[in-house]
Amino acid sequence: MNRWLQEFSFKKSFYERPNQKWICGRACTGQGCLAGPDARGQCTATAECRPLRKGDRWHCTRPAAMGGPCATGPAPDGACACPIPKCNPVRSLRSWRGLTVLLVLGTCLAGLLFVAGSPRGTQMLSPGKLSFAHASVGSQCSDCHVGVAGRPADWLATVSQTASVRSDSHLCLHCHNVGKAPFQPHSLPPEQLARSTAAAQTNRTAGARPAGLQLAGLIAGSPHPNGTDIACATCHQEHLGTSHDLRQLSNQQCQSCHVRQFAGLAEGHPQFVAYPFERRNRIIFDHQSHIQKHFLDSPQAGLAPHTCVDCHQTDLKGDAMQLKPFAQICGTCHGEQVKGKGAVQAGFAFLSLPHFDDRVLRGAYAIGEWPEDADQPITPFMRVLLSADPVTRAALATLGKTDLTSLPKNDTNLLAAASRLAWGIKGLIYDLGRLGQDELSRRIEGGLGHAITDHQREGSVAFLNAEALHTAFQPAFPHLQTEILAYRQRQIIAKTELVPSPDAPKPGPDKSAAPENWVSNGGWYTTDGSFTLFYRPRGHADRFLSSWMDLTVTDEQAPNPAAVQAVFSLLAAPKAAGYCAKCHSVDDQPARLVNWLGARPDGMIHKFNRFSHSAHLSLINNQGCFTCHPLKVNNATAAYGDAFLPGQHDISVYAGNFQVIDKATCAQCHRPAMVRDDCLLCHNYHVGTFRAVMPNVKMHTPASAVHPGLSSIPESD
Amino acid sequence: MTPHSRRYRGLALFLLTILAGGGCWVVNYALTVQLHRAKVFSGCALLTLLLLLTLFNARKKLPFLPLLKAATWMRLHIFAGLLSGFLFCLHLHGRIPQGILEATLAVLYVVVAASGFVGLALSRWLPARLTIHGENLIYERIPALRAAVHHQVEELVEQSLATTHSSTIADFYESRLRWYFARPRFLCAHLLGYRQSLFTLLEEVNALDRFLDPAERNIMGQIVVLINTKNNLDFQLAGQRLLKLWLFVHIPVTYGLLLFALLHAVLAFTLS
Repeated sequence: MNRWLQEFSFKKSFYERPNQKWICGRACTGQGCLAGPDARGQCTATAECRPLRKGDRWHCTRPAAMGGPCATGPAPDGACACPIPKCNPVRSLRSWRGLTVLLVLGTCLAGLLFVAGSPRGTQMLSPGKLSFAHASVGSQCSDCHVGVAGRPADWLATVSQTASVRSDSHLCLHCHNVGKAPFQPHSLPPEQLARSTAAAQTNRTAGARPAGLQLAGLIAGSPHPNGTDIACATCHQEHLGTSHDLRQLSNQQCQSCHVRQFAGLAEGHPQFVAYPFERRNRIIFDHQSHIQKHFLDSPQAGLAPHTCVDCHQTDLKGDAMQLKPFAQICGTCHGEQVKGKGAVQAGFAFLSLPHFDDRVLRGAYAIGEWPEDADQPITPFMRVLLSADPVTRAALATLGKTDLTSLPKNDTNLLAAASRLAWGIKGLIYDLGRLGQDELSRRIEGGLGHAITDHQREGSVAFLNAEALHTAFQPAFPHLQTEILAYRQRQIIAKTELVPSPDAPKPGPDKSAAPENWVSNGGWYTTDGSFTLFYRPRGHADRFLSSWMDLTVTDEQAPNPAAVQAVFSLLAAPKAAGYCAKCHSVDDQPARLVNWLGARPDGMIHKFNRFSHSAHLSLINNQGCFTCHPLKVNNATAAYGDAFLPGQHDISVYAGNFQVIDKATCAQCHRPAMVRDDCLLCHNYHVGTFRAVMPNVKMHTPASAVHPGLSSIPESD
Repeated sequence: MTPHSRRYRGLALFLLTILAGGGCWVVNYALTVQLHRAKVFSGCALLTLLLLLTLFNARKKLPFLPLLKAATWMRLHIFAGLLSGFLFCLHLHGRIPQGILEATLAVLYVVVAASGFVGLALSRWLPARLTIHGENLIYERIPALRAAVHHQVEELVEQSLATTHSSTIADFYESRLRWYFARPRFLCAHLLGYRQSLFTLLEEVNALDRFLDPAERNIMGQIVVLINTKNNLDFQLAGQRLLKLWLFVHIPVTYGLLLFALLHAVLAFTLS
């Protein structure tokens, strides 16, 4: 049985005050005084009571809880007879707790001050490790954040004035190039984005908007109203560890800005419109006619590919399907055709001599010696080379389409122009024979109106040799040097003299190959009495043809555009030797060019869509590539060819051989609970052509390391 | 307030907490989806809640203000604490903080929350035990009461010497009881519900009983009552001290947490 200890009567017990910081040192012994310590913990006790005077007597006022009035009573002077010895007050529990609070706060503050003043403080304040891609970049906060250079303590002066998410984003652009509108949605110019938005609004799917997105839109509103910048950190969250994927975004986040919102690829995603064919082929190849006709013809049946991968292969990344080299695919059937086998004319006439009306070109218009049997038109190549000389170019312009074999006797302008043209031709041949390939290059540059690269020079000259030139034109102008020197020294040459053609050599007992067949693998040649220098392509990828087509595909700077266009028209004719334009299309956009290669992935071009062929090749069924790329059925061949008619260079006009990929094909696997169907699996956010940012790094080599002796050489004034 | 209405009020607060948590989740979800800074929302909400939770301590220091009853504040504090836990998880977004500051902040929060849960559990478990164990005592009076009990025991021992002329009780007091009455004993055992130490002592008293004459036995009976009284004093002390000591973790760490949270907020606003 317990004994009840507490008394609650005010006469028998004191009121406890646990909130006070100090308590009497003798309270634990049950002898605590009534006065108690002061706020500073000093004992204030003096006596057990303060006697009260009534009349002439002092009365003890000790409270009942302390035993009531004492027996002794106060002294005559009113002093209490029961003095209390001083105690050492002790802290209350509440006070100790307060001290603990101060201790913890002090420790925290001291730690923070240490961090603020420490050079390594920034690392301690870092909210987490940077992603793998940025791990070596962010050694300092100021690398990615504006206004936080130096120690954390120094930030306060600058950070509030300059820092913002958007200003931080500008630092990202030091290393990342995402186009001219980096902070606009998809890095697209606002006007282009507005067009896409308008198009999406027209095709808006009714009722397919997921509830979550509706709710989010209702509560949070539009994330980025039109025209506002989007900071990089909006999507790319950093400081989440080395393995964090900076491009991680949910489907709903991707669609938050979109006018058209849907649940997934299988549910609501728009049908593919033109995927994957956004433009016509660069290499003209009619799959339908080849697969359904040519590959079945008996002569080619043995050479025809059996599978798609006989002609196509993935690129190094495994994304795009590329063409194999010509020799492995087209060359098996078309190699000889490209070389000119069976063609009416295997080569191009490069230089030739026209016939001039010698009856009227006399006196002041005399042209000196001229081959009697020259009767070839001036070749387009020659017109370009002659246009390099302003005088001859003017003569060509004056003559226009005048028949040189029948010049009007009384038209002095035409006669003078014809004479200057003849002397220009002779000068060209003389200079070519004298100065060789350098002169040819100079003439090409002059005729085109711009400098050409070494690669183009090498290709367009095509190893032109003196022997070929001499063989073609020496019989025509036996005294060319004398005549040209006299003409250029303004000496009067008063006559025109027709030079007869030399006798053709008698054929030997063994039949010789025709000149164009003698160079069956390409090269320069001439034929007897033609006074023409020909070039026969050496086969596929002939440098002469490709260089001249590249040089003449545009005539923007040419002094004689008609001549340049004529060269290109000659080379790009469907039946021209080499058959270049049979397969290689010419584009007008974005610049006029000849497509020598099929589509090649460019690491700098970021398209909206992406697809990995290698990831899917093992998944296709027994239809092979036709699983995803079925051929068109109706009249596709005619439509395909229409896109490549001569003069049709618009890449957006096309009709592919294959049907547009059906979204349902992809959605068979890419659906919830099966294979990923998130937006970023197939789409890039930043769209455009972004070249990698190259830092302006100067070559830094210690002078002593280059040449020890250089340092001792005094600098000249 | 009847227990019935108290239960309904608690249920209403719980539902309100769930509603508030659900609302926060929806807003956070909407902001996340719309690519707004959802962490700013959850962080600000969490910081605001932490400040409100801290106000409970301030309210306790201002008992004279008519700002609801302390019990209501306590209930609000508990449910707001639960809500803060949910917001904390929402703010972390399932990731473990990696930075030193963030990790410290998270640890501080966990310590505060854990100590809060421990305190809540103690405040639900101990008072009932203290009530049924014996006389309910004011914590601040316990040392004085223990001293008084000790004094009474010593008086009884002296009385036994004077009246019985036997030192049996005095010897037993010197060898066993002085140690027991001098200070609070068996505090951990009291908290764990372990009473063997007391029983051992009482067994020793029983074993002594055959050596006592009737007068001594009478005195020893009174001493046994005081042993039990001292036992209750120790039990009350252990229980009440634990009810106060958990606050030595909860409150100081809360202030540290607030300090770090404010710094975190400043950094988050300026650097993100």
